[in-house]
Amino acid sequence: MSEQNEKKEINKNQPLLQVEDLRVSYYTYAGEVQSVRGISFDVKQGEIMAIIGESGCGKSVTARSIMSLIRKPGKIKEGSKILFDGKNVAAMTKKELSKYRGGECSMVFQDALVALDPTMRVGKQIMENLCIHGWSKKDAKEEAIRLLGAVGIPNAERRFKQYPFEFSGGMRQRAMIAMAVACQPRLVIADEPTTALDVTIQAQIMELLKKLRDEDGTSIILISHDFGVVAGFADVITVMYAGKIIERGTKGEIFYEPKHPYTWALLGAVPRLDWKNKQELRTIRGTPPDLVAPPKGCPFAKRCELCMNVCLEEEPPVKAFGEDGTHSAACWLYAEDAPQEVLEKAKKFAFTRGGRTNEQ
Amino acid sequence: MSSKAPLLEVTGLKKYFQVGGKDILKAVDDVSFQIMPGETLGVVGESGCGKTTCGRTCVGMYKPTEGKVLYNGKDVHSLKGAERKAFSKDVQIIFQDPYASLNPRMTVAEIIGEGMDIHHLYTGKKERQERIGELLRMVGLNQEHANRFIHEFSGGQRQRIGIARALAVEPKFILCDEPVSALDVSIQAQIANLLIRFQRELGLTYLFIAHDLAMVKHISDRVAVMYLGAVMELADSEELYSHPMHPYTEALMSAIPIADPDIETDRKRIVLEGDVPSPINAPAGCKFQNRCSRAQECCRQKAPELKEVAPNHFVACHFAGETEL
Repeated sequence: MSEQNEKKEINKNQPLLQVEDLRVSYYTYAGEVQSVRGISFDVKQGEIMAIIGESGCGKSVTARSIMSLIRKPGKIKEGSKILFDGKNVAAMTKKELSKYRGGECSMVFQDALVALDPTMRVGKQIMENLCIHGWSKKDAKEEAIRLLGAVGIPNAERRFKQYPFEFSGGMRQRAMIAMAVACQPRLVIADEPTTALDVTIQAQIMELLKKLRDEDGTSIILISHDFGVVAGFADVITVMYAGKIIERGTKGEIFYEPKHPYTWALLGAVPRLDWKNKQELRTIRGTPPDLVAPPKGCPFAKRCELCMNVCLEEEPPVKAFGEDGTHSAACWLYAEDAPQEVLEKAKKFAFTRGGRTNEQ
Repeated sequence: MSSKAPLLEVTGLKKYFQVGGKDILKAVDDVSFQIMPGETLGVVGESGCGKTTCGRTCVGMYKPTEGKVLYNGKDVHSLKGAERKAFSKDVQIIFQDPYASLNPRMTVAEIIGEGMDIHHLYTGKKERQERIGELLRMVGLNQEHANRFIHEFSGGQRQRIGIARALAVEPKFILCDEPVSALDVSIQAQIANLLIRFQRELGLTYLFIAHDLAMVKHISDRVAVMYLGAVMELADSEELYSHPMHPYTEALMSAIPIADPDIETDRKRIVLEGDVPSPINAPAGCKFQNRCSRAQECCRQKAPELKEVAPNHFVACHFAGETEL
């Protein structure tokens, strides 16, 4: 045990999860849908990383890949690497996988009503996970009741015996979190955990997740489309678009010095309480590209106000900003020979602190 | 008509549903408000607070249990014949779910043209076609889309078609029931801009229902906050945001995440305990009493009335205006 603890200490600054060149495709009648097209990132111990993007950008598929939950017709392509604490997830045996899922890495799904088994009592579903990971039935029951109480469900003992339909939406999500943290995993993936909930309940759930990190040092990957939720919660933010990471940085870097035109547009599209009423919101023209035949160059080029010829032809290189290399974006604007007039125009579009663009 | 008369006037509106035998679900419980011509009234609240039922009763889709809805001075629920038909032309709805509210077996032209057929709004086939093309262009689609079916469109495009359908009969008043909730962020902005533009250009009046307070505030002139079937607070949207007076509005406001980490870290957040009680057996007295930090004995005894605490700022709380927030 002490040896293990020591090892954990050393690994503190080592990434807990490393994803390298992840590619996932779905083979459908319409053709090969390239949901995730070569993304790399890592998550450190005790870090909260947010993946943000619109529907269809591949954020949920990424989460499922980490849990090794991709099923036919989907496939993780060769050359993709997912390392959890140095171990290759793809090479795990069935036995290792069942220890890994729920034990070391667990997931909170968006729709708790679908994710929970409707024919099974809630308590039993939490016990199930514990029993798989070597608890006796009696201990597991006690622990399950304690967990229900810990996530803020009153009358835990009575609730233990109830079915999911007897729970409200917020309570179901709490039960899911109880289930996810039952075996004290080192990484929790929360896939839009509050999208189906009301704002007051959302605040409760986010507090709960934050407590998890602060008290147990659990790493969290938060998948969301809501910049507001992310602002109060994440340490590092990854912006995805059309199966690619287009920008990545710390919270401050993404919110106050965003570099990619897509990030600018996203930040400008959400109305805020401190903005003037009825002013024009920033919109992104068109719709995201079809990933059966992804565009040759930058995936955002067709919708970008600053599109140059090179954007349509070649994929933009990833450029790092700052000294510590935490902030990077994939855009041709930051190539050395970017034309001056486009840069001038970019200044107008850039999202600056205070919420509005320089235009207004 | 003078501009001072309200377009829609709701007084003491109640809508109860009988559920499972004897239980009565009080979806809307004594709601009153007015909407002036050309104005947007936003209604916010959490799921199950009765905002959709309230909207639907206002446009005559439900018969109220008690109370009255007057449109241009006439009772909406006792209109007959030609008056009823004129009302249905004047008042249109944009629904939340663009997947469920458009008939998958009709082409876009049929969907948009249906209302025009019923109200005889064109003289010949050619004019009908031209009008449909014009409507499609107004909402950012084009003529070629007219002969397609709904399944060929994305969510945002479908919502545009829903808007074109509502605009086809040249309405004066549109009930927008969560028109952007089902859409992606960048698409939400497109639709919101469209609604704001049409209001300016066509002088429309909106009743805008949503659970997203930031979006409601952005679009509305005045906002009503609902909780368990009752209006808790009603004020100009800027005023409501800067000086919320009801404890529920405060909590709701503080729960909304703001996309700015510095503001977000410094903010004091009021996290409400527990869930919204069931509207079948709502708490006695003030409906918010069992989750309110300021609840006193009088809150459990008597439901507070919606009273004007500051000019045009109505609050239903016994302690409103007493303490500085």
